[in-house]
Amino acid sequence: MSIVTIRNVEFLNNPARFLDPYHFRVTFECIAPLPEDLEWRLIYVSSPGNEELDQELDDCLVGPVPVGVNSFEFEGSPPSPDKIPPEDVLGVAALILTGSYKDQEFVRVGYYQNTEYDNEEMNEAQPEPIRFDRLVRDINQKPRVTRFQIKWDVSPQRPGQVVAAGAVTSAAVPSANDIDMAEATDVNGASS
Amino acid sequence: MKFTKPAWVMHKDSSMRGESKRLSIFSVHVHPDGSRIATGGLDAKVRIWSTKPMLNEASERSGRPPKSLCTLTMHTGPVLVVRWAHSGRWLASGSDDEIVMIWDLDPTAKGRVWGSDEVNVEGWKPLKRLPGHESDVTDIAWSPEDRYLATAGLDSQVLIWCGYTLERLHKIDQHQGFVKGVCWDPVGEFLATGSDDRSVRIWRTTDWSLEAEVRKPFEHSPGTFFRRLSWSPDGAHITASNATNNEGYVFIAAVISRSTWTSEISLVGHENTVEVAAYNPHIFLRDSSQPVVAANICSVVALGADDRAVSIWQTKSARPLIVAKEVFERQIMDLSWSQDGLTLYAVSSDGTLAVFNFDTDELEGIAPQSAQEQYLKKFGFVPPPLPTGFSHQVPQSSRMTPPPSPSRAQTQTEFGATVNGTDGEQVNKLVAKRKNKKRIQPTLMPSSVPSAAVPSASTAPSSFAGPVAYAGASGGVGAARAFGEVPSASASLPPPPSARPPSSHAHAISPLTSAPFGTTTSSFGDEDVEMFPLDKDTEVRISSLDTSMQGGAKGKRRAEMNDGLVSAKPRTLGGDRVREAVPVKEIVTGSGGGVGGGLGLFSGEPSLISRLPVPSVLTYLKATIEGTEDVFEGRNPEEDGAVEVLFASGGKQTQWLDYLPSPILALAATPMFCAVAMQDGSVNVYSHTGRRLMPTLSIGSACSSLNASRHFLMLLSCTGLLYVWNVKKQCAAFPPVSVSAILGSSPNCTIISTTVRPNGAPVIQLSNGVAHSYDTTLATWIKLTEVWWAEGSDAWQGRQRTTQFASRGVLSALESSINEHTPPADDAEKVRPTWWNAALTLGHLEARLHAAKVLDSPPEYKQTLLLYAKKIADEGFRAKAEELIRELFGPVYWRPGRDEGWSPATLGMSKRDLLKDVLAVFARSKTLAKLALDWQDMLKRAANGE
Repeated sequence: MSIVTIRNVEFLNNPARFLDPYHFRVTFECIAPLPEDLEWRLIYVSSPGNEELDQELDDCLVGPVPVGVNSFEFEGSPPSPDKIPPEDVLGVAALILTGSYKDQEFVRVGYYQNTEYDNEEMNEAQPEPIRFDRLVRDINQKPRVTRFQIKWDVSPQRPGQVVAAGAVTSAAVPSANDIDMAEATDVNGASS
Repeated sequence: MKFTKPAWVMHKDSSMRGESKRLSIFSVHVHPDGSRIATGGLDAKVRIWSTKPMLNEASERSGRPPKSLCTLTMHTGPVLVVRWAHSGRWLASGSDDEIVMIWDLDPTAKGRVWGSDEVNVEGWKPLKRLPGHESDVTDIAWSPEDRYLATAGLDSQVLIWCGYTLERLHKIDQHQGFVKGVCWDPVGEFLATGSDDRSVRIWRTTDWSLEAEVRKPFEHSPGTFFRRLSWSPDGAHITASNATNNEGYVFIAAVISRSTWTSEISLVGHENTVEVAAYNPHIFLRDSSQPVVAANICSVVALGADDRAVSIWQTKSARPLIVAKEVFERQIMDLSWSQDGLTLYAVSSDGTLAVFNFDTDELEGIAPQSAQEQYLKKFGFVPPPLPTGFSHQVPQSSRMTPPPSPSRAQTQTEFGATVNGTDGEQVNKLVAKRKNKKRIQPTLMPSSVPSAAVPSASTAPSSFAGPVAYAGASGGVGAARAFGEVPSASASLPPPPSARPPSSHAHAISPLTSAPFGTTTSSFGDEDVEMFPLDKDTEVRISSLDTSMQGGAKGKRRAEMNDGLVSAKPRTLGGDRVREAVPVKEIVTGSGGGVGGGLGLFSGEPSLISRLPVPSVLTYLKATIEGTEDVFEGRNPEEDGAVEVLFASGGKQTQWLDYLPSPILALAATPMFCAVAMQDGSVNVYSHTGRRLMPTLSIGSACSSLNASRHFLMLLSCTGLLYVWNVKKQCAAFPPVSVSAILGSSPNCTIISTTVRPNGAPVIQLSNGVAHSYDTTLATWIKLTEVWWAEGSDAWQGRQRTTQFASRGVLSALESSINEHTPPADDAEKVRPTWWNAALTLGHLEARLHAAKVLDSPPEYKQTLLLYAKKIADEGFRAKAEELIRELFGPVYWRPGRDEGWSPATLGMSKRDLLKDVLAVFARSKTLAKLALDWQDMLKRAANGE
């Protein structure tokens, strides 16, 4: 059971130039108070076969995290060009966002990033050496999510901290027979 | 009754893209309003579905309401149980991840689920996480009026939580084994739990102390996934799953009476362990015109078992209302009745859901819910007072505009935000701190914390802009895809009614009121309710359940027609006789001591004869002819009188009879002939009109068992000689052969079962876990399968995770039977050589290929062949692969019509067609792809006659 569930990850500048910082917002739900910070890492994977070449673009802490829906924004520096093998610069690379608590990774979100020149000519000709200033990146919005079970070690609930007061305060549950698909598709996107 | 299996209800294996594989569904529960169900699956998800599309074809087609309502992904382990609160406002789920979750409706949480194709048209949010169990949570139950929540787990604990505050109130840790079932007394006085420590325990809700411990029905109960139990709506009984009779050989559900806490009644008939019992929530009246008093009350209970059948019983009747066999491919994991008592939902580890929908008149005597409320008052139990200030009750006026949940209210006041319950939810904005990687100045950290910690109170509508872009494109995809799917599960549903509509709706199962269930063969005074006869009662059950389901209603009608025609019919021998019921009594006890029933499992003497006991002489014996209701009966007189056999069509009308010189020991009947074995060692074989098809056979010694199938009759004498005759050809299939060769000298090795296949091959299963047949061409006993393979073969029945072998051929049935009688040693601890698994798996599959040939079981031959090919491919054994290909291909230049001593078919299947399938398997493997391509080409050329 994960205490933290990602509701959404938005890239605030996408597409962008290759050397622009990554700027994005993570919205997540927390269902129990967490005394320690959550740690988030952004990793650029240029060569899937060689972990040595992975670049950690950013590493940030968020906390203490209250129960409820939370969001935070953060910026990650672009990958440093000299650490990418020239043959792996163009085309598809992976961008990985990981969430950890107490040094245990509980979620890993992967995105594909496509890198190309901002003009057709260079895409055709492929200049040597690579002109990093003319490269643009586009991140595919479809995340690949892997969740891991970790020890959250949540302190036992404190008395007096009442979450529920009986179902009287809960929303009424109308019959499912009346639900219409049209209503559903009108809803704006993820987890509003 | 309507029966349907909505194919779109599924838990998918998301790791396999494109292809969606069904994963086990462990739990199902209907919402109190009946409009939705929740399911829990191996994929660690809780899913919520609307029921209207299951019950109404027009709704299914139109997609209104949407089929899938919500998917909840927060569990990190398989979800083993889901239970709605009686209020309908909360849902509790329990998982392998040791956590119990309480979910609450969140009108704002609808929409696309981030990171998946799912769209939640109904939003459910986690209200509270209940940690406390130290292992898998297996069962959950809400007490009457949601006063308490009880959860049970593999940590052997039962935890009691307040149903209002969701605080933990009490821990019950007296069970000495996994707890796998929990239910509440509808009165509110007790709680019952079922555990692998082979007890059901009853606890008082006043102080959570032990009221009673029921052990007797569970003394021999095997291990199972669940032990879900249920309390009858009148409070009078608990029906507990996984009980046994007869030293563990008869699988039953035990009905435990309130206050005496003894089990006098058993529900008998399932062929394997009962996993789950579920009472219909309504009280039923024996006589609807009479008042609701104890003597006039009965109830309806459903059972689900490992034999893949669901049975529904009305306690006033000795037979089940309905038995649905072969509805699932694997065991039943959970059952749930709708609040109106008219719909039963069942889920299986094969990943499918089945729905049984009844009309009110099919459930005779159903009383309104108010009757139960009234009736339970007589117990005079007063529940403890509620925690102050808490309630589940909602004033009518505020129904549609509920106040916000307390957690929300709390944050609201704390941060001074105003939240509109429908327009969006509050999002706390946090500030990310750059991580100080070197941690040189840890003191700096706290200074930044306060600012970071204060979440901004404002809602952030802009944060939802992102997903809008793609919500339109892929929204609804999940649901839409589920639509067009062919209901794969229903394809395997016997009985296949003619012209089944392509939709998953079908009106397949008619209530079974006729043979062979109804016959109560147990002696009078015994309170066992028999669903179908057992061997110990010497009734030879030939017709299988599924065929009887098909023929049930039809056969009855035919029988009635016969009644009308009797007068116009020509006379038959004894045809005017009135058949009268004879109580079954033992006259002469069989030679095996009668301890272990007919086959003397527990006789302790070393000689062969003592291990081949002669059946007892009973007053009444019966064999039913497969696919009909015709019965062949035998009667031995208690004092003076004649020994007689008679044949009755439709189970009623005597067709013919015969008198015999010696008491009857055993009967056998097939659609081709009937046979009777007598104490003096002679055997008569009759046609269905009572003509002797063969001279009276004189064996010389009494028989130990008599079996028949199609044209073959098999007899095992108490001296250990096995005879098989072909009645049609009137010849012996092989010269009599002694079983001493396979029985060996150990006195502990006995025969568990003897059968004969329709092709005349005998099958003899021994207590040492080996099944044998006699191969006439080899003139030797051969091993069909043995428990040895269980120690390392992936393909061993029961170890098999896929449903491939669940289609129950003779071999898989044998392996299951071996598992039951001779459980394979738990080899988890043993260290095995490197090639152990590969060698045993291949060996096992090769043995099974030979066995399938001997027993004439083409489907199993093919299944095994493909499994074998897959294993060879996985291991990359090229030489084996090539030899197998050549064996199936035969001579290269062989063409149809040319006879070169090579047989182009095996078990009626073309070898080259089989090869095509085998090559398709090889083609997917890395090492064998090239080989497969070459031979595929070769096959094509051979087919084109090049």
